[in-house]
Amino acid sequence: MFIALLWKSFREILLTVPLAMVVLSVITYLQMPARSDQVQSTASSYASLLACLGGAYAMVLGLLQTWPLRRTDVRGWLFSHPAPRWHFYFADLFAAVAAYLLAILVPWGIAWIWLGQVAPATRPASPWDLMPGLLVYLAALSFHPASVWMMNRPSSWFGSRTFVLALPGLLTFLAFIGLETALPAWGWGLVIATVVLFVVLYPLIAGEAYTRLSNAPSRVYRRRSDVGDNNDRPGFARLAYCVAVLASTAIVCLAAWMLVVVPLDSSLFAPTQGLIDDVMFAGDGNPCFVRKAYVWNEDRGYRHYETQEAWLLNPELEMFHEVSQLEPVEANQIANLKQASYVTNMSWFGAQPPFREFVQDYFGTGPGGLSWHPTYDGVYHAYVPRQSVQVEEDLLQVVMDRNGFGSTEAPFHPYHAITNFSSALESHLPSPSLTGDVFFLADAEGLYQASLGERRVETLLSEKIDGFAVMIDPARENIIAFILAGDTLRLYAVESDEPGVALPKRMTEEEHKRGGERAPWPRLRFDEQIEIKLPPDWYAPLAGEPTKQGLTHWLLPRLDGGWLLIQQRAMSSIKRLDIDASNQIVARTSYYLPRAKPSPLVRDLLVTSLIPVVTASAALFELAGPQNHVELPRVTDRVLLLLCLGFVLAHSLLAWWFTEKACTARRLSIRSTTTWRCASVFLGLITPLLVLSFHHRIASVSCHACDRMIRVDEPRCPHCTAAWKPVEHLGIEVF
Amino acid sequence: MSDLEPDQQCDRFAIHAAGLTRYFGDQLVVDRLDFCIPKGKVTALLGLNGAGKTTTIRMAMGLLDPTRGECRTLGENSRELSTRTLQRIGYLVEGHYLPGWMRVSALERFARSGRAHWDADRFRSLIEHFRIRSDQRVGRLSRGQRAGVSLACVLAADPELLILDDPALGLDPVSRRALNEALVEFAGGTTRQGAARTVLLSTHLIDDVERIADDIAVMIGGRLLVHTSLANFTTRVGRWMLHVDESGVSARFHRELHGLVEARRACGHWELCIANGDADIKAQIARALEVGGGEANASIEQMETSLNDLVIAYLSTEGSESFREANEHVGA
Repeated sequence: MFIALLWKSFREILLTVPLAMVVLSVITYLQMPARSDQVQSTASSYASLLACLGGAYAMVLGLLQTWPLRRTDVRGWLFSHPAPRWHFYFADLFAAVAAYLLAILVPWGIAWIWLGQVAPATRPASPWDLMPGLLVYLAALSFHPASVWMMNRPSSWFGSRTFVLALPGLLTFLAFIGLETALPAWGWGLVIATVVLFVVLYPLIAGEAYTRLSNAPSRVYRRRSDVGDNNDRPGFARLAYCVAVLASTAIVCLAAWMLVVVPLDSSLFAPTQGLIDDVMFAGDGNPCFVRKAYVWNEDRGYRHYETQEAWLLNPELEMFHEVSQLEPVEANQIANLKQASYVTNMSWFGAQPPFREFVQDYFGTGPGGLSWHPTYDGVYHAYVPRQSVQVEEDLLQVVMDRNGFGSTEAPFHPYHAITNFSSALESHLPSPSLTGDVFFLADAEGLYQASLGERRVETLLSEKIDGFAVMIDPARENIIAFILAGDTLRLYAVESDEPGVALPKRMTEEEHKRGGERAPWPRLRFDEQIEIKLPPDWYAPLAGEPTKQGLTHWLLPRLDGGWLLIQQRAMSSIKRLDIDASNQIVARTSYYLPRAKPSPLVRDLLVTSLIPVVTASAALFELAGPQNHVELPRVTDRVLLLLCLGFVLAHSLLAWWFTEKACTARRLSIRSTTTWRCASVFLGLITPLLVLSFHHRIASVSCHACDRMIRVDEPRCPHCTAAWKPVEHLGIEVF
Repeated sequence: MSDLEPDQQCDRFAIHAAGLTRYFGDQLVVDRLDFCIPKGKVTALLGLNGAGKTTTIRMAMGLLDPTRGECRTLGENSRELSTRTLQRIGYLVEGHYLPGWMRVSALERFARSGRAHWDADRFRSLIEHFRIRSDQRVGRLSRGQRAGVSLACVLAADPELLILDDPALGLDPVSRRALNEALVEFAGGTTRQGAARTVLLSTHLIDDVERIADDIAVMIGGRLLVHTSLANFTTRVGRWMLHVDESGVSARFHRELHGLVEARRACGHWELCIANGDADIKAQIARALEVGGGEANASIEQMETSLNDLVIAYLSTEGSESFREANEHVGA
């Protein structure tokens, strides 16, 4: 019987397959790289499109299979066939999976084969670019059981019926993000566990709804009565119940994150848009933290940053770990601040996402006529541009890795973090023409210098690197490279390794305008100068976060010949490390950044009060948690946070009270009521809404014995345990 | 919760309901039904539209859970009918739904899968009876032909219990006759295992009932008012003509006359339909007239009655005041 059911189910949705196949083929075709000088983010955009289309197609399949079953005659005809109800469901599920896979496999398979043939020779792509799309498409299949569940839920379309679609949405999004993002091991474990859990759970829950809930349109879940007989409650109904609560919790947390944490983050701490932070020297040589705003200079015809505010980074008041107040620099003194150094953004070499894709990286035009060079999986690819060799399609001319040109055996590691720091150096040494021929690379295992003209790659430095940046001292015009590896900070002086050939000097503005040319880069030499062991609160965040976003470092020379290392984290705090000439740490100081634009207090309070106490606490913990290395904020912020917590508490009490009312209105048992009360602590004011949507109003009548209202599905009165009154005879019955 | 004991119903009853109740939201559709459908009999379920017939059948088939109470079909709780039990049941849905994209031959293949005993000859003869070719697409069949295919699918499975939900709905007289003939022939036999066949037929066509049913059940407003053999029903319910002026049949008369199903004014006299009347029914009516303030010596004559008249009289009670009063306190 199952085979017959499977055949019938598949036949009923068969017509959708060619249609879906055409749509997916068009999408796949459009996502294929057309030319080698147009690197598309194939993996990412293809995955996002397939996530949307796959979810929609899975839903369509689910609706096509379950919508007709709303008709009593269709339902009666089908389910009167001698097979367990689960067979009907699994036949639908398997047929949908088959149709779903069939629709993608043809276009995807053709694209895979085609890319395998043309890439990377004529296209900067790999067949593996298509894999994230397929995986996300598979994750979006969870919309099928979700739509089956939705259709079989005896709920209102304007109530909670569509609510079950939220979780597959989150799941697909999670899969997409997981494939796109570099995650630590526990993050990957969490993603895989979540996906596996729902791949198993969701079809089972949908099956439970298909087989059981659809028979019970006047109530959603059976429940254990407080007294007397127990109704049997299907096992998966409990599961469905838990998952629904889980889904709503996820949505609440997401909403809380969007509504509260983000506004809090931007309101309690300095907003960053249009602003750039820097460190400059005051006239007395003391460092100042400055906030600059982007300004377009009409007269000069180029952009520049103007210092808006500045604060003195006072030397330590006490030794070691003292939180200091920032002292503002007076407005008339701001113009006298001097540039301390030019520091490149630090490149971090951490975890890598599971799927690679071609990343475009321009070196500039070299003597070989190579115009552009995307990287893939740690290997540089250099393509001959169409216009220069008059060929129909661009051709891959050469590949390069750490072993040199023509090799793919020793890719740079990790693949995505190869940093061409030539442009970083040159951005601080303005020149009308970039050298192009010679460029510098950094990866997690060393620093390299490559020459396109000579087809040569040399290792300048071979050691473990977590983070790498270059600093140019404007006064001395020397280049300092600093490398973070674990808890160690190493400083290197960058010198020319070719006798008689000096490093290119920074050009003046006049030279820059005249368009003067600068000598090409000689071979560089890295001379280690200092090795410093950083205190734990400095290197912990470096090791803790895979992305290390928002972590900025400045390295400044001190007058006494030592160094000043400044770390700014997440726009929230500044740490200062004083290193003397003998390379010893002499002081550590932490500062809080002032709020650039205070946000209205009322808005903060209102927004915060929208989320329940537990989520709010979690949000605050996230903001002020130890992993952020942010000490308690200033007094005004503390007052603000306390007020917010007060509102959150009031909100939780209201949620508790409304939940109580909702449970009473639905006549829930004491146990259910208690469960929902506890849930209100986590979910807040959404809890009474959930109660009203999950538990249908069951008709109630008054008990003939005690006159209190009882639900019609009760086997007997829960108040007085009286049985139902027998049917009253009219005298015309004939039996 | 159940009042049913397994050993009570397995052998004798095909369907056994106890306290069967079903609400749709606030609406009470089936109200505490207690009934047994004996094996080997054809039972006709009658009632107005919305009386709860289809809901009762769907609960018996496990297509709908009861709000309260329990129904056992062929000895199993209808909420958990096993495949083996479903093999013994044939169910013809109202409207004769069949997937329109299937051909008749494909439909036969689908219908026979999972069936332990499939009578291909019977299927063939039935579709020939309705002049249907096996290569025809179901969607192209007429309503009567679709009914024929539905019936052929159900009867070829050789079910022990046949449940038909308004099978003659929308059929022309010829198709109806063919359907009835097939049913009569089917109900008269036994299954291959020798089990007597039971038929539960929900219909509005009382003529058909008279022709093929052994027992009759009448549902009104979700309640079962009649469930007995046809012979017993026509014996215990009678119609009487009462020559009395309009004021004679007062509200008090209605209350006093026990078993009054319907009192209808027609052509200058009253027509009464009375159930469970006394041996001396005339004296009973006279007493009620006298108490009600009417003429005690009014002329009372027994009328010729047909099953049609009696059933219609019963069905008319749904809108009556006494029935509404009785249903006001239906919950408790």
